[in-house]
Formats: sequence, structure tokens, C-alpha cells
Amino acid sequence: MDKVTNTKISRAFSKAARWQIIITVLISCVSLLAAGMNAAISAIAGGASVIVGGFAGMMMARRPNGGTPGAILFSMLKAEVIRVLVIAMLLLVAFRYYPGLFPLSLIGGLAGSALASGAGLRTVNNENDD
Amino acid sequence: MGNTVQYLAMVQSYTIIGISLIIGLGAVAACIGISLMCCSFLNGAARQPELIPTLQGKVFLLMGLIDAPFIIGVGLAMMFAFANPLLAVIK
Repeated sequence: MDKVTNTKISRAFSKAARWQIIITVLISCVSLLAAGMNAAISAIAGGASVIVGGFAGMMMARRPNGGTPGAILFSMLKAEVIRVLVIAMLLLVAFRYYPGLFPLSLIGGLAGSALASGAGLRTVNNENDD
Repeated sequence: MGNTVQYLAMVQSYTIIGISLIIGLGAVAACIGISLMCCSFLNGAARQPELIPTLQGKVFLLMGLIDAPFIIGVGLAMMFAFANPLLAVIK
């Protein structure tokens, strides 16, 4: 995979991650005001699991492949599998080993962060306009 | 006492069915979405190979978006598995 493609994927991910962090912090602040410290930590745990999973997926997607469409697609699917597995494992750890977990806040942080990952699309579109 | 145990067992069994439906239907929907997108990617790459790097970044981001409802469903399923709020009504 060439350097330009790697840079594009990294830039798209970093833009998406920025929005994910902003939204997670916002949900965490709302949870802190509404239900206390445990709820805020739960929201951060939910958002962080999506961000860490996305990072793991990006590292997998950046690995060199054959350059043919089929190889690229296979590499992307592998990256997605890694992403989903990492997110599921982190959620499992949070549910299993955090006694003061506030489930609704965790789901809120998770949902906000997962839906905000589409923000990186805007970066890719802007780069195409240039 | 006997009725309570019976209600607990009933809630847990229905919860297991609900968790299976949440994860299973979410996975089927994500698979359909990703297969449609991959089909479009292959079509686009075959027609205009010079656009492959641009399309690759979009495919990576769109996969995350398509999988988002499934991941939210997994989170909800884990909530029902580990901290089922329906059981609190009976206890």
C-alpha cells in the first residue's frame, strides 16, 4: 500500500477520533451532572472502547497488501473484524470488572462515539474537492 | 417464593431470546450493508482503478458507520446479560 493511501486513512481516522472524543466528553459531562462520577466514568469507558477499537482497525488497515481491489477488500474486512472484536472485548471487561458501572451511560457513550465515526467522511470529501 | 423463582426463570429465558435476536439480526443487517458496499467498491475499482486510494479511505470509514448499529446492539445485549434491569422489578 502506498504512502498516500496510508496518510489518507490516518487523516480520516484522526478526524473521526477527534469528533468521537468531543462527543464522549460531552456525554460524560452530562452523565456527571445527571448521575454522578460512576456514570461519567462509564460513559468514558463506552466511548474509549470504540476509539481504541477503531485505532486497532486502522493499524490493521494500514498494513501492506497486494494493491489489487480484492486484496484491499480482504484487508479492510480483516480490519473490521479486529475492530469489532476489540470493542466487544473492552465492553466485556467493563461490564465484568467495573462494579460501579452505570449501563445507560456506557451505552450512551458507546452509541455517540460509534455514530460520530462518520465524521471522518467529511475530511475525505473535502480532500477530494481540493 | 415459588412464583418469584418461576418469574425469574421466565424473565431470564426471554432475555436470552431477546439477546440472541439483537445480536443475530444486527449481524445479518451489518453483513448485508457491508456486502452491498463491497460490491460497489469492486465495481468502482474495476471502472476507475485510479480512484482506488480515495475509495479505500471511504470504505474504511463507511464500514465503521455500517457496523455502528451492530456495535450498539452488542452493548445493549451485554447490558441485558450482565445488568438486566428487568430482574429488578421482580426482586
